[in-house]
Amino acid sequence: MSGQNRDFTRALLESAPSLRAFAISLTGQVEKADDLVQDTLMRAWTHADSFQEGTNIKAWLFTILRNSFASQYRKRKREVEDADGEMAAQLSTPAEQEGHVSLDDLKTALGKLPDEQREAVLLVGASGFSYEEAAEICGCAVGTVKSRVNRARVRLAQLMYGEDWDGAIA
Amino acid sequence: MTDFDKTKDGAVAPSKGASSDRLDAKLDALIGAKLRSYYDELMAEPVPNRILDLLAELDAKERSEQERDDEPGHR
Repeated sequence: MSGQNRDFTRALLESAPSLRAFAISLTGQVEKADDLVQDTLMRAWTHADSFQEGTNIKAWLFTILRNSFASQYRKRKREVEDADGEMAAQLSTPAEQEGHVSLDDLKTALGKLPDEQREAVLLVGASGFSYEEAAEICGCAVGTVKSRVNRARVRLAQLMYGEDWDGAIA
Repeated sequence: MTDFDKTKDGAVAPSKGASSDRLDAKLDALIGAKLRSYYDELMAEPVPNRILDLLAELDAKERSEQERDDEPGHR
C-alpha cells in the first residue's frame, strides 16, 4: 500500500454520484441502488490492491457495480430475452403523444428492457463510456454492445412513442 | 467488423447508408436527449448520508493505516 490511497478514497467519493445514477437507472429502485453503491464502494476499498493505477478507476468501479447487480438481481427474469420482433408485435398500447413523453415514461420503458440492453444503453448513452469501455465493463464483445445499444434505443422509442415512432418527429 | 457504420457517436445499425444515419439522428433526438436529462437529474441529487458516512469511515481507516505505515518503528 502506498501514499496513493488517499487519492483512492477521494476517487471513490468523486465517483459516487455517477455510480448512483447508474445504479438507480439500472434497478429502478433507489433503496436497492444505494445498497448496490454502498456494496460497490466497500468492495472497491477492500480490493483496492487489484486496481491498477493509471487505468480508468470509474470503469473499474462500474464493473464492480455491474457485476454485483448481475449476480444479485439478474437471475430473476431470464425469460425477458431479446426477442425484438415479438416484442414489437406485442406493443399494443401506443404511447404518449409526441412531445408529452416524460421522464417517468422513460423510467417505465427502461424497466421493460432486458437487463443486457438496459445496462448497455445506460453505459453508452448516459454514463459517457465508449463502446470499448462498455464492452469491458460488461465482459462482452464491442459488437455485442453496439447491437444491444441499438436494439435498446429502438425498443425505448417504440415503448415511449409507439410503433410509429419513426414518424413521431420530423 | 465492417458491418457497422462508423458514425460520429459510434452509432450502430447494419450499414444502410443515409437512411440509417437519419434513423440514428432521430433515435438520438428521441432517446439520447431523454436519457441524458434523466441522468442530469439523478446526478444532481445529493448523495445520501449513509454513503457519505461509509466513505468518511473508509477515509479515516485509510488515514490511520497510512500513519502507521509512515512510521515503521521510528527513525
